[in-house]
Amino acid sequence: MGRQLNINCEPAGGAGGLRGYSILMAAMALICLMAVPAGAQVWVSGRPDAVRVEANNVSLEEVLTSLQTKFNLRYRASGTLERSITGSYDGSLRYVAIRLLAGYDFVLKIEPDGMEALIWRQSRPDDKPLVVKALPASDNPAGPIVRAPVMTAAEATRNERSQFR
Amino acid sequence: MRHKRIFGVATPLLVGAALLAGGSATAQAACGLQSAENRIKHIVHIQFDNLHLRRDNPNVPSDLEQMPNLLNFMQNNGTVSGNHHTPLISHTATDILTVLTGVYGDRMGVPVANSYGFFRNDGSVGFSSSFLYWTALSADGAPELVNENGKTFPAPWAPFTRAGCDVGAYSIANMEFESLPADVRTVFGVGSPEDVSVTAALALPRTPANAPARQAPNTDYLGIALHCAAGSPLCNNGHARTDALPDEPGGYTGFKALFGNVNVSPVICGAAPGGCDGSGNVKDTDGAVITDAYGRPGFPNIFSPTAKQSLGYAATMLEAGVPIVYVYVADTHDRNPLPLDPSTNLPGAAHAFGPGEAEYVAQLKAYDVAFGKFFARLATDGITKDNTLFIVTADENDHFVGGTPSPANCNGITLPCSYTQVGEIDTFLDRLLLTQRGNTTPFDIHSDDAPTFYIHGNPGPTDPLTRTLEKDVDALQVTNPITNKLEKLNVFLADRSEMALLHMITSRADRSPSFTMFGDPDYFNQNSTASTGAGKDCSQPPACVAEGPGFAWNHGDVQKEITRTWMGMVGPGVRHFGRDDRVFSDHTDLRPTMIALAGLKDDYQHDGRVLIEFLHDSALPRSLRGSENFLELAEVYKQLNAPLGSVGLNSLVYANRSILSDDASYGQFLVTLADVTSERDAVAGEIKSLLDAAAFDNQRIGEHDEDSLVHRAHAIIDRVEDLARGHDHDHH
Repeated sequence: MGRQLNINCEPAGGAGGLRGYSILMAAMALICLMAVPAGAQVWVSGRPDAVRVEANNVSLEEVLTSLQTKFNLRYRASGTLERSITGSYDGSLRYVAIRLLAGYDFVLKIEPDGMEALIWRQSRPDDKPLVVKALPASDNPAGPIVRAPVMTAAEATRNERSQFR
Repeated sequence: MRHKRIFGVATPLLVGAALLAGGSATAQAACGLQSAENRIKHIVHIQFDNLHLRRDNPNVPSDLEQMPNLLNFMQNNGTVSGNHHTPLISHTATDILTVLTGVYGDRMGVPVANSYGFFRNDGSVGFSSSFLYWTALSADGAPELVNENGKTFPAPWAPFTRAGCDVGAYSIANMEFESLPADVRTVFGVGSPEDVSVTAALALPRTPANAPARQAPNTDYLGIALHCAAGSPLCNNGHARTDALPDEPGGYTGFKALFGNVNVSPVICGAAPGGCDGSGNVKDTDGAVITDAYGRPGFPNIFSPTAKQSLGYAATMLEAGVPIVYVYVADTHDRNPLPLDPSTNLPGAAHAFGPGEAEYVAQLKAYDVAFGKFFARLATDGITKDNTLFIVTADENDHFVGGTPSPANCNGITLPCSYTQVGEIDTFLDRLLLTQRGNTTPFDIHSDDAPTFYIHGNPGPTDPLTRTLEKDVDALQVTNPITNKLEKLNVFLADRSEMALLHMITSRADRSPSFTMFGDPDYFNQNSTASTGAGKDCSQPPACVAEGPGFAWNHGDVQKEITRTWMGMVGPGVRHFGRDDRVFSDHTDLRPTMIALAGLKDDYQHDGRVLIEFLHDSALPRSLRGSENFLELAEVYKQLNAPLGSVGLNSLVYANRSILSDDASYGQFLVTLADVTSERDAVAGEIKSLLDAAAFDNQRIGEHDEDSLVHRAHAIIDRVEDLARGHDHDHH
């Protein structure tokens, strides 16, 4: 069975959010056409209220670009976003964005047609973020949506046997 | 014409509830069921776990025969079929979800239960429970109930609540909370007060003293929900939360729900105080408050409610004015409830009975008494077969694993049976493969008598790793400790192409097992762990094959005694046929039949069909009345598309033989079966469209369409039958 591509080359969910970001889209297209460096991958899936990002040694800019393409997360940065990202992120788009931007000074604006991140600089180690402001998302006021816990096969068996179903 | 809801005896109580909750008594929802002549005012769906209509021992009356209050109610007032089938695999969650949706697992996301594996990107394997709240995300990150489009499958309560009818759920799969803290987080939110309190309780150290506190969140939140119609007074209070169904076709806004006993009982006890004690706790049919093992009122245990508990709660919901109630009742062949072990303060070891054992018979007697009280109580409430549709079924049946009873002529009633050997035979497949085949391929399985295999790295069907493991699994032989006979474990192997034909491949590729072994039903197959000899051959302890006394009733598999279950229907529009096994049906048929009788419509195409053979013409839309074309098409359709129909069973024979053949023959099989499945899907799709349009859009099926599709379906049925017989050189 086929697996999803490492680089998300699908059209973004909201076409309106692409206006004004043609340069980024061109960069995204270029990424899609290029061979993916061994070990450097970003994989984005889900829906705005349940985003999943799996990143392996890619820059924050690449991750945000993928999120922009898929979920209309627009962003503007005063400098380059070269910090390497590795890990899995799950939750609403707002929650994932906040986690990804941890360590940066940023403002997150939640708008009816998407979300915009304004990013100033990377915090110094002893800094607290200069500005962190995330307006509540109307579609998910309770916050991130969580996945069910992953079990091992043995745990799954024990769980089933404890319920007699 | 939509009719207004008539609350009958419950009206004054509902007014009380509305006032108690600070709402308006004028805001009552109008339940707009649109049954023929508006005769159906309530629907009661009773879902048993593993309760048998047939006898497991010819001398011992069956489970249902020992419950005459239920069996006679169904047979005297409606129809009972013993020719009703499960999907595959035939395990509880898949079976119930198939009943609730009317579609097979490939379309609702859970064809493997009660948990299933999934492949991560790196080829490793994780497992997720098949029991999660309807909108939950699986451990693989996708919707648990993922449909063909990657969205959450439409909720079974939505057509009812949209029609103004509240829907109660008690222990039925995935309509209420199933797993904590995951489901609380899904609905209430991460960091919500409910999440914080539940998480804190579950984080308590596992000591005997903490057992009640660790159980409390389960008692409070699991297993019970009330999905309200818009404006229902039952949800016009602080207990209600948004009933979010973000993927529901056509949108679903303005609806609220109550989750967990802590939120449901105050509301329904306000509306129906007769079903509760003075403190607002719901009582069972004997009048005792329903509690957990430690005496805390609420959901009694981990999804093994007895008849008196489930029916007590259901009756109170109905009396509170909830017109649609889904309720699950545990089986009777396991000791239930399990007494607390004094050393752990937790339920003790599982204990299974053989047919006719005194304690088993006593539990059935208690069930029968509960049903007697239930029907009598409902009759007092004015809820009867004349205004209520009752649908009753059992998720699957089981294969009993044990020795012969003593005395040989025991009947359980006047002469109790006893057994020296009761218990399925547990195996460690990985250790058997190491020992007998020298095969150390890393894999995980969903433990079952029909285990699904997930080979690490997720190799494809033609990969030598997969091919070798399949053949080695088939070659495994063990000595049955009950009979001392040497037996093969495998009966039928199903690779991914065969699982696709059997409706076991979802839209999530990561959930597709490498293959399934439908095995000998005497065996419950597992992989070993560090404590059970992982990596050790079978000359070392613990034994690779041993009888386990706690569990003796195997299911999941394909054998007739497991997959052929039963269903009963009573109520307006249902014919009084008594026992009638003439019609092949399966779990997908119950949903469209219920929805058609209720005069409603789902937002999707069913895999099942309306069982018009059991219904009065007057209860059917004109397009179905006396429709021979519908009947003929429906009959052939089931043999074509049901996993336990002709094509499904014959394809298993063909698949097993082909998987075990050489690579060239297997390659030919893949081509042929892909063609068969594609053709089957096309014809079945056309038939489904006609069947659903006839049932729900009043479009009569024409003779030409019927003739053509029946002919095409028979061609596929015959072709697969030929393939099963070994006519592999198929040039269709």
